[in-house]
Amino acid sequence: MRKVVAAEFVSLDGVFEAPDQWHFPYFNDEMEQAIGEGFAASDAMLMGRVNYEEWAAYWPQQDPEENPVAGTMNGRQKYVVSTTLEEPLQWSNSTLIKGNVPEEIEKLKNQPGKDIVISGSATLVRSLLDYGLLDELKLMVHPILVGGGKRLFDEEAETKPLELVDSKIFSTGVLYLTYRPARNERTDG
Amino acid sequence: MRRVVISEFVSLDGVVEDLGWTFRFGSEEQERFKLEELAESDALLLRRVTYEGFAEAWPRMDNEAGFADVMNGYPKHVVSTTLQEPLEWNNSTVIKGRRSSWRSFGRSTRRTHPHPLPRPPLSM
Repeated sequence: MRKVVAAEFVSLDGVFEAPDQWHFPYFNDEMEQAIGEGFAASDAMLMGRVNYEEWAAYWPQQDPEENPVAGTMNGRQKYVVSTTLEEPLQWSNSTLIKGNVPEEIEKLKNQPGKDIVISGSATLVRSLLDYGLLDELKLMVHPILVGGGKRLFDEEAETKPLELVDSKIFSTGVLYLTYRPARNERTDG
Repeated sequence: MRRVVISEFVSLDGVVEDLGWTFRFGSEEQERFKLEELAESDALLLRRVTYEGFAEAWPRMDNEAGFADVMNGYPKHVVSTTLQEPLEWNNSTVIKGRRSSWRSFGRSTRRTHPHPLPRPPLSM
């Protein structure tokens, strides 16, 4: 079965918003390689409306000659979860998931293919965690306190233990942490 | 010059409050780490809320794991505009400062749970 993987840049104080304001000083070869491996292991993207609108306005405008990521982003199959957007979606290879979101994502997971990746889209990440549909959470924790900005995790969410399955430390001080929902939830003593 | 070191239990989503959620991750490794960390220091710096929690809990704690004697013995420097000396907890003094300089500090921090170590307080 395909995995749904959320891959997020996040600051030490939990901010995921506007990484263009704080992430770039930490970008290096190790990070590039890790991101490349994530891309190679996946063949589709899943996103919420806000993220879709940002990317649909940005990536089609980029020159794929100059920025090869643009070619990948534009070419990839994209699934967009939204109750307000309407088909047809403008950005190439974008499909709308309008209702029955858990069932639709379950269906996608049962189709043959590689991983389905989410970046950004915190609301969607939280819902998938709640529904038990998220298989992996890959965080690149940047050693910076951004101060203001939207947090990846909700203040009101339920307690949910995770299992750390992999960790790397990049030379920039970024922690690359891979979590899965805990299989055997130990109870508090 | 002495260093000021902040040591926190924090969940992946940044919560430092009500440390009950840390118990499931307790281990001998962690206990050793916290003891070594305490051994590398010789004083504690706290604000009022944490002080009040600690002053309540630590004098009643047994020293089985080696924490209580250290916590009770170390000098405690408590930053507060409202507490008055003498403080009840052994070896504690108040850093009072001007109210104006701490007002913005208070606004920028969240209330923390008054317990630094991943173990339940004495049975209540």
